[in-house]
Amino acid sequence: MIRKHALAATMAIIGTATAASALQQSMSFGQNWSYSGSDGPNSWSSVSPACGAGMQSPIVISGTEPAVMHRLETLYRVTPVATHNDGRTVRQNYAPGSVLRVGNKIFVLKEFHFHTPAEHQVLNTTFPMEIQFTHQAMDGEMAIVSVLVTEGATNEAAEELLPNLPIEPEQGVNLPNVKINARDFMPQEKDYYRYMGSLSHPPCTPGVNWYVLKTPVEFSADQIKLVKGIVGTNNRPVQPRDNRIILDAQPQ
Amino acid sequence: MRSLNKQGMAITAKGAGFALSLLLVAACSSGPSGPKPTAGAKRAPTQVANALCEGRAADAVDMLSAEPLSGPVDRFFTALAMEKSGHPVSARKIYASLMTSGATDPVYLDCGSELLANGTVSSEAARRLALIAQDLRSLDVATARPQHLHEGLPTLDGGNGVSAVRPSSGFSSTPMSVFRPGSTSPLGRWFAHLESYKSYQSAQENKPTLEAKYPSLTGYIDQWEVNVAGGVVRLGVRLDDRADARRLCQQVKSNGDYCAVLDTSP
Repeated sequence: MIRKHALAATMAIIGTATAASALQQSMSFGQNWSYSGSDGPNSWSSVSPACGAGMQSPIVISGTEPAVMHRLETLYRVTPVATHNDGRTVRQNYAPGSVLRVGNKIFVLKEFHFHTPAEHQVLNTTFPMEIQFTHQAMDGEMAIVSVLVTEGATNEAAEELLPNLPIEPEQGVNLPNVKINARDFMPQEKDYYRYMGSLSHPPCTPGVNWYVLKTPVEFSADQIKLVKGIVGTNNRPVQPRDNRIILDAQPQ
Repeated sequence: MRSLNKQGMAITAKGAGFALSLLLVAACSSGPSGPKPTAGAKRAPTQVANALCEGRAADAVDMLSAEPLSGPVDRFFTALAMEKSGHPVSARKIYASLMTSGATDPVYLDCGSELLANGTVSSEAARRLALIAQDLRSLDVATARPQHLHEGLPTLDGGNGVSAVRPSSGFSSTPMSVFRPGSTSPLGRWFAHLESYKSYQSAQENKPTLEAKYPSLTGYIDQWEVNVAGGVVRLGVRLDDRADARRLCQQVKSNGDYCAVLDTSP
């Protein structure tokens, strides 16, 4: 179920995507696209040419190349619940001060959001849900950590957040006294697949560093059902590999 | 070849990139340009070249893998197809063996304005290795550690009993094929530095690991004690010829590992 609602005009930023504004655009890019129908993924390139320019996300993770790489260091702080339903997904915005460190690179955690079903596939395996953690470096470079979700035990961290997800589009929930930590939505083991892709929705900004964690986290069937009931089906179909390198990061 | 390239360019173009493609096709049609193929150069089979130039490198891999390949030219183009299909790490192994083999067969392949190969197999393999290393570094693979580690400084904490100071990022312990230069000598002035340790004992204990990684250097890895930050024992290969030492290090570094040519003279 996809809901389309007009966003405030001031929120609609249409223009040339620059690195510095890529994240802002990603969270507010127009209203003329959706995940199905005439303005579905096949027509996104008319909304933003980058969507049809290749090197896009998501992809099928296969044919990986092993390489020793830096660990992902998730130096996240707790943050108050501050969720927003933009009609296509629900985002938990993050207060400043939480960073992802990969070697010498530092990315600031901006938000995380949900996709049902998952956008990435690993070989032939599909997943019922994916959580994407969006980060941005000082120079505008973006990094997204993707956590795949399998159906299993109840996720305790999600129990704090899910009751506070805004059900209606354009609704937000701010609870200063309820704190969560994005790290709790990630697995302990942070081995990952690495490739260069794009935002997986318009404006499909290229040059995004993707880190897809190998280890999924578990959500209960009811928890997945709850998220899906709010965000609907919001996965972009997998995109061509376009001869890209997909690295299977080996720990140092 | 040129008409095939034009086709490749046209097929590659899509969406907003069409205008760019037209420009490239126009460039191809404007007459001969760029370096000429090395005399007697062997080109990739037409279908393979076509696939590579059209962005269908995976198809090229399939074509080249359909039959047993033994010649250095075929192996080079196989590695090139693997590299271009997003498998540079796999390609690197083939390139490394071709480089060390010293194969002199000339190869040539261009895709319009992009020159993919023009030289002997060994030299082109070395060039592709350098390009792969550059690509992988851009993805944070095998990034160099801070300079003080390259000097062999004992920066690891001593609490865990591990005394090894590995200058490189430790790309892989997989056996690596390197060509042993002829000027190796126990009294050689030039030292191809591979690793450093805080004690002689640690160096001796870890030498077999290093030899297992570089089988062709077994029996030639020497130690060199230096007074850096309290004393360091370096492991490497001594050579009489500086150029040989450089070539050896180039091979090691092409795998993403650390190697530095040092002058042992007082």
